[in-house]
Amino acid sequence: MSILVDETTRVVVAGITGWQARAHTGFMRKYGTNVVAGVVPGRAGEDCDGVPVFDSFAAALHDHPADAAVLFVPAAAAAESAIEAAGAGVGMILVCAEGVPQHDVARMIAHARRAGVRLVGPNSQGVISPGRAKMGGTGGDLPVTNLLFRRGPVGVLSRSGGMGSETCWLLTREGIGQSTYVSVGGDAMVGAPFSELMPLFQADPETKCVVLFGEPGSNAEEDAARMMNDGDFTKPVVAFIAGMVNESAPQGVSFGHAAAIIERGEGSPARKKALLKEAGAVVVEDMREIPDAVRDALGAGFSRP
Amino acid sequence: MPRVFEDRAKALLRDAGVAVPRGRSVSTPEEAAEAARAIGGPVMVKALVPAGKRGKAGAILAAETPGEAEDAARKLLGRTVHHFPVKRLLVEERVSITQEWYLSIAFDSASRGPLVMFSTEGGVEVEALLEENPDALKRLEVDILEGLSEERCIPFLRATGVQGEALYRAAMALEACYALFRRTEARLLEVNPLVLTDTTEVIAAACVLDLDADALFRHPELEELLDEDSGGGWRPPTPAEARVAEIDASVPPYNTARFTEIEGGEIALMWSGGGGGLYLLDTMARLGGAPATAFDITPGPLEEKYFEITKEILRMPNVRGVLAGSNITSFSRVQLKVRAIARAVEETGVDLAEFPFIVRFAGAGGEEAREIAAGCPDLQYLGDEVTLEEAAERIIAQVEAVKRGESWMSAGGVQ
Repeated sequence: MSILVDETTRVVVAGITGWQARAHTGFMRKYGTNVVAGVVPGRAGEDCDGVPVFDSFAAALHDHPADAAVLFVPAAAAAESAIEAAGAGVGMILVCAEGVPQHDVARMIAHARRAGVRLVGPNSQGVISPGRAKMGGTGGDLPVTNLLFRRGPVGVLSRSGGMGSETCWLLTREGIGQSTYVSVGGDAMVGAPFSELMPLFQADPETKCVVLFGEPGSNAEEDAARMMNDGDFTKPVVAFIAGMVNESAPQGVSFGHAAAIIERGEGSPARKKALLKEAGAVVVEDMREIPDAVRDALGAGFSRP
Repeated sequence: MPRVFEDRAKALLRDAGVAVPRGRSVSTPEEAAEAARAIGGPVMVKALVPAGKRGKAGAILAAETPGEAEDAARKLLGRTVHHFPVKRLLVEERVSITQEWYLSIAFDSASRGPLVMFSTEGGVEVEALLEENPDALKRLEVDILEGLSEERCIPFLRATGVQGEALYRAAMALEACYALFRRTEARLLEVNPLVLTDTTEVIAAACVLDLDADALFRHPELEELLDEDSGGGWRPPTPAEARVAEIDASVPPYNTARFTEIEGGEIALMWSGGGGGLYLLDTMARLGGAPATAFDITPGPLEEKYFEITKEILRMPNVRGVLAGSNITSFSRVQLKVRAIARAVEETGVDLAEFPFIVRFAGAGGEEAREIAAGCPDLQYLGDEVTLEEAAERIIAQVEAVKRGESWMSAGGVQ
């Protein structure tokens, strides 16, 4: 099993005719993703590399029932596209755009919540269940995807798309595969923070251990720690938190993503690490330690495939 | 986050229906005296800088007469407050204070929507407020799809302890502030203090308005309110930062590069992707390296922008070596960035035999990138055979070797 996406997930791609979206749609399909339709206003009736294009989500879903939508639309158009998708009845929406205005982010999250739709992103690189299917840009074409990811027992959640892939690569090159990797998005506000996805990993029998890549700002890691303390997440957790350098930077300095803004003492990497450790997570200081920590967590029952 | 200076933010508040002190912004002592005369009575003279804690820094002075206002202006103009030069002042009427409240509206990453915070014990820094009496700070989560009506403002404010006629006026002010927060697509609107006067007026005596750089394209009228010191940094941009910002604003795709100069550093870091950039800074700190730049750029086909910025970095006098690269990329055609580096090295004439320059790129376009790097003498190309940490270890060792007068090749260089 896996979470969010597998080979049975029927996917609609918004903005499919853009050059980047078109390329990624091709990579997704090669990897095994079932892309059933595209949505581009004004382009209804076109065929994009064999995928039928519709004007709206409503029209696309009328002809092609779908489970999930991936949005490759620009930041300025992301909110309206996400809100439309939420209203059209898909169960999950992945928003890839970086730089979505924060008021739009809040609006799309609120709409998704009302419609009971899971929203991943914005500013997400994608979701991949190795060996099954993927949504979004993560991995790119087959050679890189297969270099970075392999199927296995580790769930990976990352606030950084690039570092999430790097985390998977560190595991993969030591023979440790992943059940699903989710780039949750680098913004302060995201539709599905760690605490919304960890219950899915808890329920997934294939996932034996979860790796978190955290960053300064927001309370994603704090909520994850609380979930572990409350007994709502009981599988082993290995965590790495970037941004210790921010602890010594002058107030108001922020390196990295928009989320990485330490405000009023909350959201600091040191605090996140301390809380996760208290909750029983193994917190590593050097990412190269992740594979060993995961191997320890998986225990004797895990051997290299 | 672009910060709107206080005088301009107050004009926006006034237009939104929130009372503000009568005031005028000036840039000479003579204008300050004239403004004080026009206002009449005692005034406050405030340095207009995009930084908080101005009171403690002595950047807000009281004046009883136009003459005192002129003296105060003379003291403040040209001073530096929290790293920012004081170029303009706000001269405004001194309001009679019965109570001082704290009000802010910002996004909350927990509820993932707007969050109002209010305390009847305002007038001090929010940090002090949280430390001394955290229970006095009340929170109101707002459903962005419903907005914030008077009907919600009144019970919320009543629960904070606001009473009587003041309650109604405070609710009007809160409702108007929320409307301004939404209309300007702000990241933060903070009014501290929101003053209750002896005539039961509610006046925004000081405020901070931080905008969303990603939403400014929809608000050209707000963009006009910003100037070169409103970038949202903790200090004005250094010359190198200003040049990189100019490149970022003029070479598409715009607003994709983040660049900070680090004082006393010697190894320039050029990274793609925010998380990776952050991790590399951590790694350098852990390994004892001295980064000269924190630079990250959105992964993507950005050859011209990367070329221009690489040249700026190579021209920084304190930089003794460079580590450039990214995570293993899925799609970003790393050969474009390596070509940009090779072109920048050639154009600036930097001799890489004396100046270690490591690139660690792998993924889409990696093979072509390796070939381009091979054509640039002494440029060291590392792919997925090394981790980010190993690349960082190498550049630190190589810069140390160069500083000892040795060749970097003695310190594990690859060619």
